[in-house]
Amino acid sequence: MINTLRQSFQIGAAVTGNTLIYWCQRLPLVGKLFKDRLYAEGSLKDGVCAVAFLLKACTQVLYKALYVCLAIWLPAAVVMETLTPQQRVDAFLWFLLMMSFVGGALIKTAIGDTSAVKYTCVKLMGMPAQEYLPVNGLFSHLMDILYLLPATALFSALIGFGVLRGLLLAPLWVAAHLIGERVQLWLFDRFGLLTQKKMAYQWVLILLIPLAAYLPPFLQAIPPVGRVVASPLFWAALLGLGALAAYSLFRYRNYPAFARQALPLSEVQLDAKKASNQAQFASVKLRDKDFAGDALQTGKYDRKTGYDYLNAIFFDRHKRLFFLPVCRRLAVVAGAAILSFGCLLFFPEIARNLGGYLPQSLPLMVFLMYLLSIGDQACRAMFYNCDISLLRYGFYRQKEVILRNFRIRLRRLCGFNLITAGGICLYVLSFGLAAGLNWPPLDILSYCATVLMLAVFFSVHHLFLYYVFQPYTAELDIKNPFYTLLNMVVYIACFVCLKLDSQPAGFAFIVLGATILYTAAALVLIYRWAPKNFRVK
Amino acid sequence: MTQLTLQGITKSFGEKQVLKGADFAFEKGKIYGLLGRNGAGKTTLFNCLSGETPPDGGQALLVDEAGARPLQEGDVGYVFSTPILPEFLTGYEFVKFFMDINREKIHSSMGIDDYFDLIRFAPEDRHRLIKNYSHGMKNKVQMLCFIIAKPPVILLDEPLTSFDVVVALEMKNLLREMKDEHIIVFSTHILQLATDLCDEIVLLTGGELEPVDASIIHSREFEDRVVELLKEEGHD
Repeated sequence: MINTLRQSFQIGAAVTGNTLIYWCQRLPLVGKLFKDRLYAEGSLKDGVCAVAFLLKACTQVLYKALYVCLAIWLPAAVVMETLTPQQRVDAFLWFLLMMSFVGGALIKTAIGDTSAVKYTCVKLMGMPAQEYLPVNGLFSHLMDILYLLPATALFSALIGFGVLRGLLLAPLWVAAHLIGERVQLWLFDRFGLLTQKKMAYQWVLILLIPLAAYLPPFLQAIPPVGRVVASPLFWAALLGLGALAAYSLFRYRNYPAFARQALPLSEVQLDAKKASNQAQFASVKLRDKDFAGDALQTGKYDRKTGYDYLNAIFFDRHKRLFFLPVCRRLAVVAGAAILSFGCLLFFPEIARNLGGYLPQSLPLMVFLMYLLSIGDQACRAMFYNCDISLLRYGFYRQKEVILRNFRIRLRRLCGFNLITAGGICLYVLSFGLAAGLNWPPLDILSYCATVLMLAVFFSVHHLFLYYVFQPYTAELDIKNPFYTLLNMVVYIACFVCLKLDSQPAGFAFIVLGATILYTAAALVLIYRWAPKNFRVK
Repeated sequence: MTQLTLQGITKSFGEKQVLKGADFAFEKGKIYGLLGRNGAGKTTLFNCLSGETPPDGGQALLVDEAGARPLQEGDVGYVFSTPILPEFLTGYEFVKFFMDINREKIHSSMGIDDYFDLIRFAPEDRHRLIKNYSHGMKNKVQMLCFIIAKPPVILLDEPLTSFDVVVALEMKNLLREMKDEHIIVFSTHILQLATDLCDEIVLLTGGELEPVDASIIHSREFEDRVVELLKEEGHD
């Protein structure tokens, strides 16, 4: 047993150490200090791994404390202010029992979860699943006791359950989880159910458990569990059952079959970097079902040629990524309109008060339009589905081609963002008028003009960053700090706008100025730099 | 006689110098096999010639009766070892797009389907998304680009290694038919493929290009000689 643990630690240490060295090598400026020979330094890696282990322990302690605070203590202590102290203790313990001792125990599994280290040990290095899974699972649960102690002690003390009894909650919690592990293995044996992979199982519990936990106190019917949980009989019973479950986990004989199903290669990403890069582009991937109803041989693009032809097909085949998000945004605007007009009908006073804020809402619009622009996702789709391949061809990298494609795409992107902006203008205008706002026509005009300009501004912004900094590599890495920096600057600027208090006409003037200046600067920079920089890095 | 002349091409990545001054003259009408061990720099050399990555030093010239001029991106057709095509298009659409943008280079009256017939591409596959094409089908579409645009220089980066025997034979025949009008350089680390298809063998070893005596290509000692030369590199 000790040997299995030691070996799995060694492999885990090597994986953690190598990953850290790999990432350190990619740090800006200091990355070059981390040479390849560090990979051969076994003792250094052990040190790195020890640091990583400590860091992980600290984050686990914080994570558990956060969970206990938000899911268990806060609802009992703060939300239900009217409770008596004893009721509050009861509510706290009831939440703990339902959410963690029952819910967590049935949803989480340390034995069955999939990890790269586990896959490496069992499938690649050939360590026997019969030994590896229970030993590592039990170790992980025992460590949980340490991670939980600060949280259970602190929040028990705060709620009035006492520090000492709070300390005891940690091993009780883990005992419940060990029983849960055994129950999940039984479900696998009996029904072939892999609880961690069966979404229906997960969702039913995720919906039912919080309901069971929070509904009774909400209905003023808090089960008096305080006395039960405080009784030594309960401790003895739960700890005894936990020990029995642990024993049974070691006696369980079906781990090899369990590992075969629980650890498929398709779900293990041994290359963490590749996995994280792929994940960024997952939403813009072309899917077969996007074309399920389309005939590919329609001849509807026949009248177009060259790059117009290419872009027409591109935007048509990626409707899901361009048109659907716009539809979703319009649906939200329509929903807001229905709510507002309904409010106007039934609660006219409230609606008019709300409507009164409309003329001052322009600064909010800046942030809103930033969020509603589809530019970022559009650029990722352009790169992943089109440019990453065509940029390998010389003809596609020629200056006039790059600029021509830029113009076509800018027109399209502005079009999409302007549809959303138009919808917003229509809503604001109609609601403003219906609510009988005293809104001067010039202000209305400048309000709408600003919203439309913002749509253009953010279209230019995203496409400009993409063309001038083309940050993505063939491996889908982002490799340009300026791209991240400029993106952040614009985000912060939009956020700061939320705090501004401004008159529509003046604000419209500022936005107009900013849009013209930014667009002009962007166009100049694109004409100068894009032909050189718009390449796959 | 048109020639592709390389003069002292160098390229380094960090501290590692991959090309150390590659000199060579490739002639039209021949298929050249570029042989080198894994990591010798074959793809790097091709990337430098195709404009994908600029070389650190040296130059590549296209020399013909009219004189010498620097090799430009448009002069080179490049088949990547992993075929790279826009997956949202069908093969037919890609070829139409390619023909549109190369209109002035195309002097043939052949239509899109005629070209597909030429490479024996099944009619029902032409209107499927490239995304669902096999490796071999994608490579055929890439090859079709050269047949259409006829760039003077064609670089093929290990193109035949992943084909099944039927497609590989088709592609070999296609290359043989095309060679009179092009300078074809074809990188591989499979010796038999090189001796089978190529008129000349060039070794990329130690960051430099070195020709192998063409008269021994089909002889017994050829393999020993090539292995001996490649081993000398002190491969790292």
